[in-house]
Amino acid sequence: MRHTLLTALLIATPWSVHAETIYVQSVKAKLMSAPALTAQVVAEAPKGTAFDVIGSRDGWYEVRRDGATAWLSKLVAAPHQPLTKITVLPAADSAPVDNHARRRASVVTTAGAARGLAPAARARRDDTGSDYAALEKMEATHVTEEETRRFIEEGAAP
Amino acid sequence: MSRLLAALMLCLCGVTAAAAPAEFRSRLSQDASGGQGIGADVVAELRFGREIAARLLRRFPLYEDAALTRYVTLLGQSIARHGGRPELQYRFAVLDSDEVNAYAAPGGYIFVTRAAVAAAGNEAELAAVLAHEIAHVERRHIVEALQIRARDDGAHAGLALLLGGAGDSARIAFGQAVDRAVEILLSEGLQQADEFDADQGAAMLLSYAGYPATALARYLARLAPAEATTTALHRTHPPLAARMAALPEAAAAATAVTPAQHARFVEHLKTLRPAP
Repeated sequence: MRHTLLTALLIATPWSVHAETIYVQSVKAKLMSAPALTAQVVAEAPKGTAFDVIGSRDGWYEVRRDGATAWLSKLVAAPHQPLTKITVLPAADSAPVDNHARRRASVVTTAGAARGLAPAARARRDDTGSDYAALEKMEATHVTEEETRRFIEEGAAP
Repeated sequence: MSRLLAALMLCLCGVTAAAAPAEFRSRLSQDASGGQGIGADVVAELRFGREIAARLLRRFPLYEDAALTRYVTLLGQSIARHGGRPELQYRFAVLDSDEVNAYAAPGGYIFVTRAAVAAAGNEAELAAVLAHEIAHVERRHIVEALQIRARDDGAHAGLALLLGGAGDSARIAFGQAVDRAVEILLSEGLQQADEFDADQGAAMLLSYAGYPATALARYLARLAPAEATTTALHRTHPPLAARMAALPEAAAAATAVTPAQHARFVEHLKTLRPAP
C-alpha cells in the first residue's frame, strides 16, 4: 500500500509536467558536448527538430533525444515550431518562401493597412521625423533563400 | 496515515496544476494554434520596428550603392539564417554616415554606417558587425529595454498588447514607445549587459555561419586606436577593451576568410566613399 502511494506521489509531483519540448529554429543547429561555444560538436540538427529539455545553464538548454543528451544554444531554439516568414508589407514585397507564407502575408498586410500604413498616412506622418521613402527603398532590396545559399557556397569555394 | 498521504497527494496534485509556469501554459496554447498567436505578436514587433527604422532613416540618409547594399544583405542573410527567428525577414541598409556605428530595430531592420563598413578588415569582420545587430533582434533587447511586458507572459506578448490597440490612446502609446526606442538607439544606448549579450550571440552566429568566432574581437581591436574620437560608438556601447576581454581571444584566430570571400569583399568596398 505504502509503495503504491509513494509511486502515486512521485507521479503527481510538479516536475513530471515541467518536461518542456523545444524546437530548432535555425537552419541547422549544433549540439555541443558542454554549454560552451568552444565545446565539441557532437551532432547537428535541422530546423524543426524537437528536443526534450532536461536542464538549463546560462544561455544553453541541456536536451535529450532518443536517449542521448547534449547542449543546445537558447539563441537557436524556442518552445514552438518554426514559423514561416511574416511581413506587414504589401504583397508585392519580398517573394514569400511558400504558399503558406503568402497567405499569411495577405492577412497581416490587411491588418497593417488598417493600422495606418496606407500611403496617405505615411505622407502625413513624414512630418514627424520619419523617412518612409527611404524605408521603402530599403525594403525593396530583397534576396531569395536560393541567392543566399549560392552566396554561401561561392564564399566557401577554395 | 493513509488518509494523511492521500491528502498530501491531493495537495501536490493541486500544486502541480497551479505551479505550471505561465510559459508552459502559453506554449500549449501556441502549439494548439499552430503558432498563430505568436504570429500576431510578430506583426506587432514588425510594425514597431518599421516605425523605428523610418525614424533612423530620417536621421541618417541611405548610402546609395545598390551593389554594396545587396552584398551586405546577402552577407546578413547568411548570418541570420543561423539565428532563432525564421519568421523574420531581415533587411539591411548602409547609412551614409562618417560615424562608426550600427543599429538594430525590432523585426529585423539592420543598419550599418558607411564608416563602420569601411572599418572592417575583411568579410568576417563585416559579418561580425551584422551578427552583433542580428543578436540584438534575436534577443529582443529593445523590447526588453522598454519594459513592455504583459503580466504573465513574455515581453513579446506585452508588445502585442501595447501596440495592438486602436484609438487615440493606443496611437499615443505607440508613438511614445517609438520615441523612447529611438532615444535609446541614438543617444543612451542599451544596457551594457545587452551589448555583451549581443557580442556573445554574434560570436555564436559567426561560428555557426562558418566565420571565425573571433572576428568581432578583431573588428573591435581595429577601432580601439580611434576609440576616443568615435563618439557615437562610445556613447552607446561599453568600452572596447571590456568587450574584447569578454569575447573569444582575437589573437587565437586561425584564419580569416577564404580567397573568394576576400575577393568579393574587396570588390564591393573598392568604391566606398572614404570618411572626410
